Amino acid sequence: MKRQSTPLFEVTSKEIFSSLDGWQGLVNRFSDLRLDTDEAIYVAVVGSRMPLSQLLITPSLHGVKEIRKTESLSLFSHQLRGEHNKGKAASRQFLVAQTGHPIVSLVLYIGSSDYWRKGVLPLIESLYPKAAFPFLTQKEIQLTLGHLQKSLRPQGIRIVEFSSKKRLPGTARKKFQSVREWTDADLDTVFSEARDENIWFRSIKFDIVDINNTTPISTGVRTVLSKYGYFSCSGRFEFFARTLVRDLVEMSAKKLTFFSDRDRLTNPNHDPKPIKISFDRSIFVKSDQIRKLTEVMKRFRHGTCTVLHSNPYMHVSMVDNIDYSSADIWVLSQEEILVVPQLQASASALKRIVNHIFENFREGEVSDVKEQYTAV
Amino acid sequence: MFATLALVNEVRWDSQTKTLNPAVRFEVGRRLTTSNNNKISPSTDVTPDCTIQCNSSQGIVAEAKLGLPRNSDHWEGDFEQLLKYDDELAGWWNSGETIYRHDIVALVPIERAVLFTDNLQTFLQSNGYELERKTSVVGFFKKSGVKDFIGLKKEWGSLSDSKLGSELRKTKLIAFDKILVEYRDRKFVDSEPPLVYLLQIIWDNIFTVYAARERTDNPSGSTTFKVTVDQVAEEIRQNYGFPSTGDRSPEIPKKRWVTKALSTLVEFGMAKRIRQDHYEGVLPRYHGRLS
Repeated sequence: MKRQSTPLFEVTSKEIFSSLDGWQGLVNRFSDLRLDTDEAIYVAVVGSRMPLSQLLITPSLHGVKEIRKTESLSLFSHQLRGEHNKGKAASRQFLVAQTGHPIVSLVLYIGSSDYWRKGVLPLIESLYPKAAFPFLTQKEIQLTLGHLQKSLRPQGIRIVEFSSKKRLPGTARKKFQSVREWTDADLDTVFSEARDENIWFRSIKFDIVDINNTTPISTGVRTVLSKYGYFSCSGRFEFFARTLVRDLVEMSAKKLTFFSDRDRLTNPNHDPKPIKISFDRSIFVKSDQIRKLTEVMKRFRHGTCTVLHSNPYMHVSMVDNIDYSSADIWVLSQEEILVVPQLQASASALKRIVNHIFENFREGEVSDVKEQYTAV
Repeated sequence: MFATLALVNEVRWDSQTKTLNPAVRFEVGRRLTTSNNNKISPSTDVTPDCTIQCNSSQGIVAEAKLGLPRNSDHWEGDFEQLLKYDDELAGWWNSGETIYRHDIVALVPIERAVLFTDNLQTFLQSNGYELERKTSVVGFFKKSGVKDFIGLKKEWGSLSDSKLGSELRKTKLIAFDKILVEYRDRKFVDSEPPLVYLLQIIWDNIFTVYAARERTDNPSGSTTFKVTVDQVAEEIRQNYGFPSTGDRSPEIPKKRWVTKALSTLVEFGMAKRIRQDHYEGVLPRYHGRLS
């Protein structure tokens, strides 16, 4: 087994950003990083048309200051106001890195989970719709972790905890139950059980393990991957940077590109560019599923839903009350939902609508509506 | 709307090339003019729901009857409307605005198609009318299956294009989503829509555009914007209705429908009238965390 060299000069979380010499140089320095017990490395993949580092220096954002920047890296300090932090003001640093995709940036923070959850994530979220986290479907999470597992060989991944949503039976007053579960299982088993039990993951915690005589032994590296495209790890960042980060960036870029430029205003002749959500079986055979979807759309957070038709076919109009994007949702097939972006429709808002359907109704495959006008 | 566009689509569809024939012209609510010899209204303008010009010599005039009264005694007006179209109508896209021949199609809900046909024939006989042009009654219906379709079935009559007539006799199904995409999500025809429907489109799809343009990086509360009736009407025509393409071409929606809708918003306290045809709209805006 390859032994890890003991670093001659360890660096702490406060020192790691002291010199910015490009992404690769920074990644290399992580091998010398010594984390305190309550610290972890946090990475978020963020999609935005404008570079994220530019969005963060808009005057309307309070408490954010750019400290240093290079061609591809920008270091920010962020003052978290007292009301978010037990009455105490706190300041931390985080880094924004450009990726190979101009529409995708990385946010890197090293420290406590408390500050990540109460400081960095809400800050990025407040940039919506100009910037947004991607979302990963259940299938994409499995694919990403599968890919990671392959790259780890002969080591492996052991799922130790997950938070998920479970669909409750039709008779229940609540539609979903939030579940946090501790386990010790391999990747395929966890996903297969999730399918059987009708649950889907919001975040998934796993250990990197050595497989010794089929008994997995933890290497001490623990990672949490969120379905919103961010993760934390307690070590081996150099490995994650060339595997998980790369996959998440690729996936996010693809997703953002897919949802972009679908507003009718900027399309030639103002033609609609609909999106299709396909399911692998006939979902809308019974009208109760249309009713269920209608109810789901009415619960779209910070949005307005106008029901134009709900039986026998469904037609609702959705407005995102944050950026005034709008889209019509149609059910004109037992296996598909049609999302028709209207005049004003940002990529972030369309992604949010589709994610709302995925999280609260069911996940499907998104695709572009092919313009084949075949009369049957 | 879907039934009318489904018929247009069927006329345009070339089964050999599997494409839509770009040479077929059509317009919703086109103004045509009757001749001196018209049996019902001589030398008058008429506006069929849809005028389709298949080629330079052949056309179709279609009238869609979505809301036929339950009492068939009240259908006489609809029969007279069809008779108005049984004439040398002017207003086609040819020089001289005339066409060699055109057919008449009545689009009615499938459940009324037989009764409509029977009553039409009785009406013609009892009043001594005879239709000179090929006329047909085509029933429309929605068919749900794996996909949702609008169905067209010819219940009675004939068409000059025998192939089209034969296809419609056997029933044609046209996918809803194809109509939605190909015809650019048109939401209006040449008759006044329910007020609430127009209000929803103005509020969700037009005001949102104006409000988004007004946004600043430091917004607070709601967004206020100024609009004119002409501006809103034209925006709807371009995107959800039909802009006028010439003298005979209507503007859908009409300006007065939009004026009525904006006045209603003022009544509800959701807009302000600044002066004639000028309004100020206000849209609420959410600020805060998404999760």
